[in-house]
Amino acid sequence: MSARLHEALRDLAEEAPRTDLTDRVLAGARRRRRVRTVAAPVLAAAAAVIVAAGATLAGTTGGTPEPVTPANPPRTGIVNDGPLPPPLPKRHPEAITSAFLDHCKNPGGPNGKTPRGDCAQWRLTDRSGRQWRLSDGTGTYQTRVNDYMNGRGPLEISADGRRLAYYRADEQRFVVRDVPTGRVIPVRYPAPLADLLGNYHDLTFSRDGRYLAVSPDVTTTKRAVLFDTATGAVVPLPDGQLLGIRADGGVALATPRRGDERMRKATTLMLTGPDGRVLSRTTLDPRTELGTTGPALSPDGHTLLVRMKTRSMLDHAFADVRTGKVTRRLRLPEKVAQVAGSPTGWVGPTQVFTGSTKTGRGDASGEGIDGLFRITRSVIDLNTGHETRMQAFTLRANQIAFVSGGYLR
Amino acid sequence: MARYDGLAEFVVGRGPGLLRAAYLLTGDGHLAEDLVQSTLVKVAPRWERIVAAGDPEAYVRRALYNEHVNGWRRFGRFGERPSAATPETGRHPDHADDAVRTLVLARALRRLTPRQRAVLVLRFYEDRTAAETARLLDCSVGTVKSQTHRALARLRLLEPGLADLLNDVNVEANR
Repeated sequence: MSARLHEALRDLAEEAPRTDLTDRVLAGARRRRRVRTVAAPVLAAAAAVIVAAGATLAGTTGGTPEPVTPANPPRTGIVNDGPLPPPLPKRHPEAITSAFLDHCKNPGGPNGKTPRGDCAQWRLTDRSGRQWRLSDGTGTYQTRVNDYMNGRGPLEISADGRRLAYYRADEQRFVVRDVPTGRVIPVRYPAPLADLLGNYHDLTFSRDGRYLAVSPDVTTTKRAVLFDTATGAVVPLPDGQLLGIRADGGVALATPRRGDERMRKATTLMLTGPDGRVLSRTTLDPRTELGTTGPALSPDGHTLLVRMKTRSMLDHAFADVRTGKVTRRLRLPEKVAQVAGSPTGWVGPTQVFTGSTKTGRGDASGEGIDGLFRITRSVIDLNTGHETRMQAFTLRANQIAFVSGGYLR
Repeated sequence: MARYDGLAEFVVGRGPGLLRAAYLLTGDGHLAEDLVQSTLVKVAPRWERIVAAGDPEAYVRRALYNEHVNGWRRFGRFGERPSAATPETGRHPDHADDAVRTLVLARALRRLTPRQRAVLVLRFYEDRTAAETARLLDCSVGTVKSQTHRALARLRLLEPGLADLLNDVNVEANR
């Protein structure tokens, strides 16, 4: 190598911006995934054949859960170092706060070696830190195509931790489980296992856990729906990125303009009523963009957390979903801007809940993903930038899936 | 979010390195961010598969270079842009000064074609062999070598003052 030219190029490269693009990348990826513009009936048909021929289910044991014997906390302080915890009892009085898959700690994650058996089930952590397995849900399922492409059953935890939404492979449908009572409410939405292949489904609870939105991937023609757990009603939703569910069952959605799928130029905001009909349409202030990968709609049902299109990742704003106009600008402290900009949920009108994941050794140094994952659950005040840590714990795995909830008491 | 497991960590860990390469390719901080972001958003839907293949960074780098070369081909967005700086100064600056040398090199790189820039960055910044560069850019080894020679010749023509920087690269270019 030419040492002098290399050195000169290296010096020049040091002038590159030091921007953290994580938030932007995930937001962009999620938009591409959520905005349903492509139909792929051929893919769906092929998937159905493949599943029928060779699907192998893991993480579904069925039957009656074993007696409750919570696992002892592991000595290492790493929550999945100990023995596998018992199944979640039929009735459990405590709120569920986290769920994760460690894919049986297989090298290469779920695609390296297929997770099988109880360790492939979703693991749940309650507010006391005790762990359980979700034995009637699907954690990881495997459907090999050219030796790759595994799938995962989605799972969502309500804001109060009293409800779980997940996929039951035995019944081939989504269900909502009321944790304290053990009542299981089937979602009237066709969801054969073949639909889960390559079509990730987002599950989103309303703040009170009454409504559940099921949003399939961009590669399917299936409509997103809103399910009312109180009445059993299922309402189809317009295409778009779900921004949040209002208390009355109406939803806020964002849609791109034609030819602007990444919503860089203009974003249309829509509000629907409880029947799914569009009540209003407006354009989001062009100085802003939807930076969030989580629910952008605050509990008041009309305030959106958006990002200003400035060079700084710290500049955010509140906008009114009914008018699209900025109502207040926010500048978040650097250390919380990224996670606060993509909340998991809202604790109050200006307080967001976040569940962030950081790798320990390994990934940052480029040595691979093998290592430790540090999970931090926090509440961040958008007015002050003050962060209140609720819980932090560590997982050991090659790859994890992580879901956070149960942040309201 | 489960579908993008590890993507956030990848961006945190490898994003700075990708941005440095993108900055050399584009010569502009905003365009570098744009290039890295658009590359990662494009690969995100295939993230699980990419991770399963075992070397996500190699995949992303390949996508980055191709996005750079093909993006320019489609839209001309990485073409030459107006600049307040006069391209020819009439005399050659003192290249003993590293800061000046860096500025001159940056200015000269911007006047190469995207593919020529990509070849130089891969060969002399990332220290890739001609074969590796060919694989990454999806072209033949012969194309890499010819592009390298043309790029170096153009640099010498544009900035004769960089000659001492380029003196020892001819042999390397054939590696």
